Amino acid sequence: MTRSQPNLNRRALVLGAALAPLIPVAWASAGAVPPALGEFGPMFRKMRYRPNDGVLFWWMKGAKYGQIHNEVKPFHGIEACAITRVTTTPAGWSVDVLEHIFYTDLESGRLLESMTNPFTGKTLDYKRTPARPFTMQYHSDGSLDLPSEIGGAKFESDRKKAILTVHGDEIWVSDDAATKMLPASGAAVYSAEWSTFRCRMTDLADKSLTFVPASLHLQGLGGWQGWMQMGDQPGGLISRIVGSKVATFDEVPETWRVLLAKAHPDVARDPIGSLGSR
Amino acid sequence: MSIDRISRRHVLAAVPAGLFVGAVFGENFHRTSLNLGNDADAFLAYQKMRGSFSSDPMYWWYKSLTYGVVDRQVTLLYALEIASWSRSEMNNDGTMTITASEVGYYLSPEDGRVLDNVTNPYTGKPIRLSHIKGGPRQFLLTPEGMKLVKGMPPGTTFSISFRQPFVVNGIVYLSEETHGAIPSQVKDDNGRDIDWPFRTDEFTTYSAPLAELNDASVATAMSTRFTFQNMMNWPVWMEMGTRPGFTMGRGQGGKIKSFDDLPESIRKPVMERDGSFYKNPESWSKPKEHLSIFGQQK
Repeated sequence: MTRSQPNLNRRALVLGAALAPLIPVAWASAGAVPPALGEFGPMFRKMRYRPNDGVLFWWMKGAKYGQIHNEVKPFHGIEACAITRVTTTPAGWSVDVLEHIFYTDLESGRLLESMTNPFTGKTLDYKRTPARPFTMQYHSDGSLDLPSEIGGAKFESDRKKAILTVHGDEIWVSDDAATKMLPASGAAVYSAEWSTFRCRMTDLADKSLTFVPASLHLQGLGGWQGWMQMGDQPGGLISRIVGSKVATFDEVPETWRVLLAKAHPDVARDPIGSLGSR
Repeated sequence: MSIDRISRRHVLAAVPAGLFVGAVFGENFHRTSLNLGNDADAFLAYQKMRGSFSSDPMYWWYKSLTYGVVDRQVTLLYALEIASWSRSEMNNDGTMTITASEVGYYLSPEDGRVLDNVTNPYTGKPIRLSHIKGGPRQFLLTPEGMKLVKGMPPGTTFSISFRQPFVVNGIVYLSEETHGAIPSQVKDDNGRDIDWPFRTDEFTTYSAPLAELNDASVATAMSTRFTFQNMMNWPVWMEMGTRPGFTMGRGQGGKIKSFDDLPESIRKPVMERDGSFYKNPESWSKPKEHLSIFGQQK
């Protein structure tokens, strides 16, 4: 069965796809920025992206689990990478992203084509829908514009960034989003995604560095995807993902590059070109 | 046990027979180039991240945020910061026994102050919090994962497994999954006590530099850091009964040289409230009247 991949759309929304009309998003920063790191916005940009114009790659690896009440069962693995280009703008910076996500069999690591639903026992066929590039517009303080309506549905997002912990030379920063989609008819759909970034403070403070290695832990909470055939079952999906930022395509784990080369040889040949011209 | 007493056999003996061939090629503890696709080497990396080949005490800290989830609507409830002590001992079969204790405090996510009284945002009821005091508990680190040995209530079931690690840019990532259930009771809508096992699912990813894991002189990878997320029943003290929903947590932490290296946000409350744990965690045990397991307390 061929199905769309609604989660990709959701992730694009949670990440902050730039669609009009735009509304400012709630902003909060709990911890104080260590003085050596300056303002939160530029610090966040350097940690999550880079302080100057250029490209970077966020690879991610993890798994998705189904949850009904308090029972959790694994569904599949995830291999992903966001090909990312940063450009300084008058208001802040823009980020072009193409994130190709591959679902994999948890045991073999092979590309997922079918699996047994661990709750229903049904055999599920899965076919991914390739992602398209999108652009996010950041303000210089690190806030982000998001749409208020998508496809006729009202869209609300509560986005918060905060310094979670500063310990020794390490800093952890959260970037969280809770979203609510309210269709013209039907119930509201909620989802959440919490990202925790970590890097060295000395790297952030070093003005000569234009690329700072950083790692990511990401967890998500969302609804069932259509291809899972869960119908009106309660619960939904949770995901656990780790990743890190690398400077070049060759540093992205080979497992993802192999999947990409097979599915999108054109992107593998020219990953930056796949973002389109700027 | 000293690091020198770790023999190749310690590692190999812990590996199921079917993995023996791979283990032989995986060489031994003293090798300086781990092949993490090899089960014996993966176990070795797990031991250096999670435990130690030395019997010297290990100190950990972590910090987390806990959210209530009802119909996928998320409410931030509290922060939690934990100081943990553990000691590893090698067994003759290559497994590792880890004894661990911890204390921790519920903190305001806004300003980090210790919370002794809170209001349940779902019921509006005031709650007097009893902070975390756990242990000593004993776990067995095996090639199949961690097994609970003692320190938990009878009837507790736990499965703690780890997945094959992978390396990116010189950093080893190793994920661990915990699924458990602890016998527990809650009050139903009529105020009667009913059995309601406290379920917990936790996903943790440990990371450490490959060079540190490869270093034969390193008994425990001090650079180990971890991030985790968990999903649990409502803690009993929230008095949520059988209401739908659960809590989700997210956190991060790592090893430290001693409790003196704890972040100030937790070092101060540990010294002030649990000074005996701070000074001598090995001889510390939680008060008998204190039942505190994964946020369970009465």
